[in-house]
Amino acid sequence: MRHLLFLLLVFMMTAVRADGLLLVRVHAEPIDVMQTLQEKLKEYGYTIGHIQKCDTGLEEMGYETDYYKVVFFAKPEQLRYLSNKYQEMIPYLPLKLAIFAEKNDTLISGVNPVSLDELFPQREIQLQLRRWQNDVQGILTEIRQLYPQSS
Amino acid sequence: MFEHLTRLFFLFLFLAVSHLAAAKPDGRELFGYYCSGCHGEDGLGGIGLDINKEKLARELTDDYLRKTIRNGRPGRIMPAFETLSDAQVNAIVSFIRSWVGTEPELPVKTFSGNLEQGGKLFLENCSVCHGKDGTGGMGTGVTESRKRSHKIIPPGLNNQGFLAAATDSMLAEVIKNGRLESGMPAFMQLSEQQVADLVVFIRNWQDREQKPAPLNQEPAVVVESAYGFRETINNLKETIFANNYRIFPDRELEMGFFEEDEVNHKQVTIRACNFKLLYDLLNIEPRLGVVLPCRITVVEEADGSVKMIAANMHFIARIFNNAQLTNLFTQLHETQLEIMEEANF
Repeated sequence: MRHLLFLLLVFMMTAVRADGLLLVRVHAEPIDVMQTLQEKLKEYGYTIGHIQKCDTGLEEMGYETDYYKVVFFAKPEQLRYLSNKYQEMIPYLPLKLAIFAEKNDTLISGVNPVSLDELFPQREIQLQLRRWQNDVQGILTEIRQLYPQSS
Repeated sequence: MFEHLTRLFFLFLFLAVSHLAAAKPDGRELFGYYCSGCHGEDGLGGIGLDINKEKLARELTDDYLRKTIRNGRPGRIMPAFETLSDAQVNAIVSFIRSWVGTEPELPVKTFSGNLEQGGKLFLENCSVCHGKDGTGGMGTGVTESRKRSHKIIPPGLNNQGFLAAATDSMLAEVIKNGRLESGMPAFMQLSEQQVADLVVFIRNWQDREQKPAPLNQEPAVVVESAYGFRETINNLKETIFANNYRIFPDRELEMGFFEEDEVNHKQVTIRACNFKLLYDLLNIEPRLGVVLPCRITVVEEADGSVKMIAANMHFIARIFNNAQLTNLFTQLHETQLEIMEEANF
């Protein structure tokens, strides 16, 4: 049965985009999208570790910029397990999504976890990367659908 | 039981694949999913260039759009969508075409001209915006969120993806009529022969293979520290600060994910940022935040040994399909190594 599930996961994996970066455009203000993103991450069982305010840092240093934040998230036990067992994964943990404004829209982007395949041949990690990809892609798609473009 | 489940699984697989194959692709939906993130829902651009109606009606043929989707722009952010089916690509092209209705009719012909003369003309007329070697402006797409050199960044002309998509006639059309919306002037003063010389010069860049450098497959840079845990952290911070980076407060890797008394205090991440560099990099790639901030994690093992661990910057650079960023990340990789070595001195 486990083999079947693995096959199913591989099938599902090939049905989604495999670019290095995942990206979604949302027709809403960044503050609203940030709120929705946090809710969706929690719905999917993730904890938000912290939020990096890149825009604030840039503005403090005298640069003009739009809204730009980075959300760090993980499932705590996964983070602990993977960082202890595979220390070379530490630089890529926790997962991150950048959320930034572009004109009247908000963009959310993240590294496609599956792009780390090249670096981590271990089957356990590769399966985990696919699960993360499915989750992140699901979250981004759901957020996009919540804010349809008015035509 | 197992056989039964296997049959059920393959039946499900067959039905799912059949459904996917039979469904007529929806161009609007595909554009929304694959293209709108960078080009905007209405094609006005952002991270990617604009696909405006004027260009579509005058110079962008369906073949150009198809090849652009398939080949992308190596090193200029736009990925090659190799896994889309022909039907999906055609559906996207039809959706884009529906914005103007008609396809431009450009003559199919190969221009002949003087390469040397074309080079001189390029240097005089084009290189200011497109670069002497035709690599294009710094960054890509349409400027929305930060100040940059142009409202619409001049595209790379020596790009193999672009050259595979653009015909000689299209190049001539753009040179003669310009692209007013992007600030590209119409070079109406040039003779037909001079335009042909320029086209031949630009075309000469085609097929000079730009192979990506082989990837350093190490997942991370790991350096054994010669010092204790706290000393290593302090040494790193001093060295990072001396390299003109602002240092953020230390964070344990698990901080925010566990209660304070449960957090592993032997995995501390030193986070830093050079805001000038960050600002410049965001102008080249607005999605850079996905790998921010610069960080090195210090880990103490059960036996008391200490390691410094950082990301493989060569790998990170590759994620972005952005040649300008790749060069800067190569420098960053070197700086990161120097910092760790210096902290160990």
